[in-house]
Amino acid sequence: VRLPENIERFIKNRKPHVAAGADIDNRILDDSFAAMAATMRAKSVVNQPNIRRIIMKNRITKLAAVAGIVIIVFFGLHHFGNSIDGTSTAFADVLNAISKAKTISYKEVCERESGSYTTENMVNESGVMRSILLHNLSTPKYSNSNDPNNVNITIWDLAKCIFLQLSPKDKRAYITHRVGEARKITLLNYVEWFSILHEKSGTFAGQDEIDGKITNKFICDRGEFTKITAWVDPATNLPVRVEQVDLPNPKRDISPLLSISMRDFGGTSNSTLGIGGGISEKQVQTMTDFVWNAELDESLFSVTPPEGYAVEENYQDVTQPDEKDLIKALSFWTEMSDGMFPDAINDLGDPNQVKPLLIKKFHKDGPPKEELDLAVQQMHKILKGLYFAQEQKVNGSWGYTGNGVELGDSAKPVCWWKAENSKSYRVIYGNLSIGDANSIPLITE
Amino acid sequence: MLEDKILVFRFNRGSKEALRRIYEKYKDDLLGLAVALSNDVSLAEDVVHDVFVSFAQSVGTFNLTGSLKSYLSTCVANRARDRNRSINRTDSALEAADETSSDIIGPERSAICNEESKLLINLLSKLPYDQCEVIVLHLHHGLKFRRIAKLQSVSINTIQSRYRYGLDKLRCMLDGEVKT
Repeated sequence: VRLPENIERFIKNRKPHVAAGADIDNRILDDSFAAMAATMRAKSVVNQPNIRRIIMKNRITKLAAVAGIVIIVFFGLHHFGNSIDGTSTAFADVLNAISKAKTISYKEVCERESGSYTTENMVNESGVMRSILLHNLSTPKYSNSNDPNNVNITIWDLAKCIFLQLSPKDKRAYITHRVGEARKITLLNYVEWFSILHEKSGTFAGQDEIDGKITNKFICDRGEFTKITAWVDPATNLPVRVEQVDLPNPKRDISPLLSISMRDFGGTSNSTLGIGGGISEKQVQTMTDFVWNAELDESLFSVTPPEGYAVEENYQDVTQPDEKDLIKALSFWTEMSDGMFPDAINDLGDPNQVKPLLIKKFHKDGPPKEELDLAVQQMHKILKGLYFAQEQKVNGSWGYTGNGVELGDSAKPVCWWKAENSKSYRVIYGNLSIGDANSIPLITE
Repeated sequence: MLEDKILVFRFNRGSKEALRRIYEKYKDDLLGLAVALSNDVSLAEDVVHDVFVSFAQSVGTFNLTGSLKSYLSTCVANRARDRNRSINRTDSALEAADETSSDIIGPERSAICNEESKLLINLLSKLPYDQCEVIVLHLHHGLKFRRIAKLQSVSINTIQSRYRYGLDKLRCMLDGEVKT
């Protein structure tokens, strides 16, 4: 060994390179995956009873909750209309049967890698839906579905723009007023979906035996991310089983659950509010036990909380996102990031980046509940901006060039998109002004 | 950095693939750090194992504020220190040195690939642990003194002193090696 003149360089040059053995790779990864799964299961236990997730109702998140269920039902029906093997006559019959249906009840199992749950759902003639979260399949805590209190009940009244969540176990009710959504529809006569679905095609896939009965099976691949299979009773022309498999769409795979809690603002309560949408992992929804046209007690669909329940009300902006929302989201971001735009538009939905900004902005040692509410409102605004961008992205005419752009630089484009049926591009510049361009804006250094 | 952000983003949403990529990206570096701090391949493997399992448990809530590499390096340093506390380091140093310098490690076990590195690790193991840690984190892993000071819960001046003392001792040891 020669005595080194520069001891620091000597040490630097001898940085140990350690090649990990195959055994250790497997051990670490297996144990890490197991730890990750256990944590996610535990979180599922914690989150379910306090479920207050607000699902943005727009095109991007239309697979969520009620809308998702409606899509499944009518997608299943739609296949018949476009079958290429002579089943088209059945479609008319099914359509007719559905249009005459007054009520529907069914059971749904939603399975994901991160957790599964089962719901019992019913929809009345007015289109109000009641959904009971029975138990989480992956969490033993909720496996006792015999306990009538160990459930969560959600009533969706889209016509009144209200949904009510009830937690019988702790006698709490959460009312969410969906501001900006005035839809006078009934779920069972939701012809709007037909007009969309009619353009799609499905495939008759033969006959299957379901619960001892022969059914007609139809498959619809709705793009590469959604596959729906419906089994229909030939006698009634009504579905007896529907299965929908959704895979994450990378273009839409950017709307994670953003959640923020009272504790983030110095409170002691575990009260957490979250917003999310889209499909972040493979999920399989299976609907079974269909009962059509049963008599349903109207009191089950009341959005008035039962007596004795502690009530909390929230307001949720569910208007369709537009370019102003995107500008507001970018404005907030630059305000809280020393004037710099996000590196990528998806950063607007990154909990690791957004949450610290919200806390920085609203945690002023004031009342935690008030600060939390303000942060949640801002969270909505940010996500609306992101959803607008997502829509443009999905439509294939979106570009983001905000990485490194500083607020105030009016010459630099931050993002651009081309609306459907538009000949020009909309461009947001570094000073948050918006204008039109005849071509995709050039990025200048 | 951006790639790490995306990986963390996906990891937080439960992506095993993201966790796997994070592991693949940093495992060798972290193992190298753990070996340099512990002078024991087996112990180093345990340290990295514990760090990744702990990291995996943070899914959904992990908040990356700086560099992921620095974060994981700090975790390894913390864990290695905890492990070292339970071992009589002085007594075990020679035994551990023998272990690391042996070449009977098969492909299923981790292995130090360079003889000169083995010598350095051996020498580092003879330093007081805090000095060894400062030198390894600063010179091999690029952590700033400020961050190491936070890690060791001492002032930045103390860290700089430990760094200088450590280098001096290494120089002396190397001098001895040369004379030998």
